[in-house]
Amino acid sequence: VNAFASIIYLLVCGMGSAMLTRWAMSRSGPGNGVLRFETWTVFFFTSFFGGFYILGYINLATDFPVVDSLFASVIALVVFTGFGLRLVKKMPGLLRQGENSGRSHNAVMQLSLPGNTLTRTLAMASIVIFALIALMLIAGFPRGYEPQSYHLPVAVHIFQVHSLKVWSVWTTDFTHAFPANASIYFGFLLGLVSEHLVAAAGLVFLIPLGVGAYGIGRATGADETASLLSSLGLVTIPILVAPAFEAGSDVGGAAFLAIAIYFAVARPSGRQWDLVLSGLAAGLAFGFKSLHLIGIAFLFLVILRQAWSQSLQGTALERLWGTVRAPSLFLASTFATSGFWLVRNYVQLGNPLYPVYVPMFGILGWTKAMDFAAITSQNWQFAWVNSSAEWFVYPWLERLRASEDVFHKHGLGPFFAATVPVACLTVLIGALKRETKKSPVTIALFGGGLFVLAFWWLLNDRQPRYLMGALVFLVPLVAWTMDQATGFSRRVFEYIAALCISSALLMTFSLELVEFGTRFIYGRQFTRWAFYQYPAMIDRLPPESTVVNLGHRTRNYSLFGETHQNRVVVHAEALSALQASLEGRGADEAPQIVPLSHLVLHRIGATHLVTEGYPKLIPDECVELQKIAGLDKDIFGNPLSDPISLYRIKFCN
Amino acid sequence: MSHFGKENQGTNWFGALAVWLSGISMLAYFLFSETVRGYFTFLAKTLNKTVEVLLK
Repeated sequence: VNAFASIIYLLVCGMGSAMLTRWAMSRSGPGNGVLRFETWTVFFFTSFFGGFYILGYINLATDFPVVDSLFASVIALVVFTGFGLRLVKKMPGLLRQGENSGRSHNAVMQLSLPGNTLTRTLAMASIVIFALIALMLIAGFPRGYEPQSYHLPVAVHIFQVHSLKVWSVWTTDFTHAFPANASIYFGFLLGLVSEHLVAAAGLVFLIPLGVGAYGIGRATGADETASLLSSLGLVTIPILVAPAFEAGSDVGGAAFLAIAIYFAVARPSGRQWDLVLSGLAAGLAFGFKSLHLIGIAFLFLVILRQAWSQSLQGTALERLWGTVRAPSLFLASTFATSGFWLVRNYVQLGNPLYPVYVPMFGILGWTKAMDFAAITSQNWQFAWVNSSAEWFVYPWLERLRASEDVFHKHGLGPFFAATVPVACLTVLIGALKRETKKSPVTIALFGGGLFVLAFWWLLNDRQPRYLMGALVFLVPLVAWTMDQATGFSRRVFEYIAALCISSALLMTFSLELVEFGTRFIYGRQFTRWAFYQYPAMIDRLPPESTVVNLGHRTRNYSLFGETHQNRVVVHAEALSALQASLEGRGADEAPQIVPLSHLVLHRIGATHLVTEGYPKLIPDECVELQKIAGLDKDIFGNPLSDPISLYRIKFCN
Repeated sequence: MSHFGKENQGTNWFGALAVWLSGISMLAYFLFSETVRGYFTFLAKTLNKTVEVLLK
């Protein structure tokens, strides 16, 4: 029933979005493939997530467990039938067959790749390589440090309890309060298709990201070849492409930010519709990664400025209305797709942006997340650089510490190092020579990139992946810069970009190939328990079992078991509830001393414990532990330094 | 699209400057990036290991 409802939901959202796109395109004049595709993407994902937001509001207000594919498809059917009837009345030719087939034929024609032979070949090579990586990924299971720690556990939890309320067993783990579009997306897919296919589902968002970046490049006035090269450059930046191989939120966030920029800065249809679509995409970007709020704030300023400069005529009232209308449309649309997370966190935790906190929130009485504040530290940056000043040369150095290999950290890659700082410099020179006046889009993009980078610098938690929003603003500037070069210079510039893109692709592919070879050809990790390294018994626990994770934090997801039949008390909550001590180990490591109070274990509903290494377990008089399974060898048969143990908990009567 | 280096001074100095800087930046990346060095070290180790396993 669940899979059937999920398929209906996808079909209704897909067809309803196609109908809305056709209607929107008929209002916005002659369109192009990029505009049509990005419009459909915004409508599709707005309706996909929108159904769950509506259920989330009902769940928040009534506590009824309604967050489910079945109810979501009912909502989608009702909403799109309503829209359809209204639109068909307004536009009788909307559903006409002949027109539809003509349009789909046009759409297919527009799918052919733009640019010259070099870029088309490069684009085809990229598609083939990403397809091969997808094939390698579906041999395994969803992976990633953060996805396994909280995106996927939250995803399973949402569909286990049919609720979008903040998941809290003992105290609120701040990661459970982040906007959870990624968890809805992957959770929905986990209920519909095999876990193997979900492992590659992050790649989907590279498509709207690439198309969006191409559209932004074209909006700067650059030609097709330059725009396609900058777009390929963006989707092969290691720090951005690596999360696409995981079940995370980074690529989804970047994709919707790119779409929001495309509609707000390029204004492809030149109508107010652009702002609605930009706002909807911005809200979705926030739902994936709340950090994109900074980029969204900049887009708001751009729209405000556009509106102000366009309303210099008329009476004071007309000017005021003209200035207020466009930013209001953008804000209202943003709120439509991000409001649920803000309302949920305000209602449940007393701070709409929880766990984000700035001193000003104190005046409003908003809550501070102490666990989040404790992990934010300027010292994090020293994993990448030796001093703050070294960030200015980081793209060319990409330091690795003595104990690290290339799997440890992803840098900005050759395309960024070779072209983006140069593009920023050329835009700056262009602006000083007042030549960019002919292309205000470049200045807006440059400003957006600097705005995000400035906040990243001030945030005091300088990890390169947090500047991903700046990449979306800055990389399309490469298209504009390339377009400035002519003749021989231009050809050389194209070859430099192509060399950087192909070397990044080759490095990414070969690393994935090695990972694939190690895991499957050498290690034979075809089963879930072998892939995640846990005792196979976890997959065969009785129904309603609740496993407490006293191992590493990344074990949170795997402990749900093969069919996600188990409940899990995640690492952070387990440590907090049981007052377990890490004894100086890292915050994500397995605890070393664990008092086991029967009262606490009862309250969190624990039936089983998973430990890693040799922790000192201190059960009280009413708790008895029975070891029922263990894993003490790795995939190659070598003894594990920290063996995994599974215990059943027995309580006294 | 205007090519302002060309318009202003008769030669496309602006595009040429961008290309030179890009070329130098790319070389700097491949020479100094520890990721690139780490990548080749890792690849060499992997190849060695693969040969070892195949010869066993």
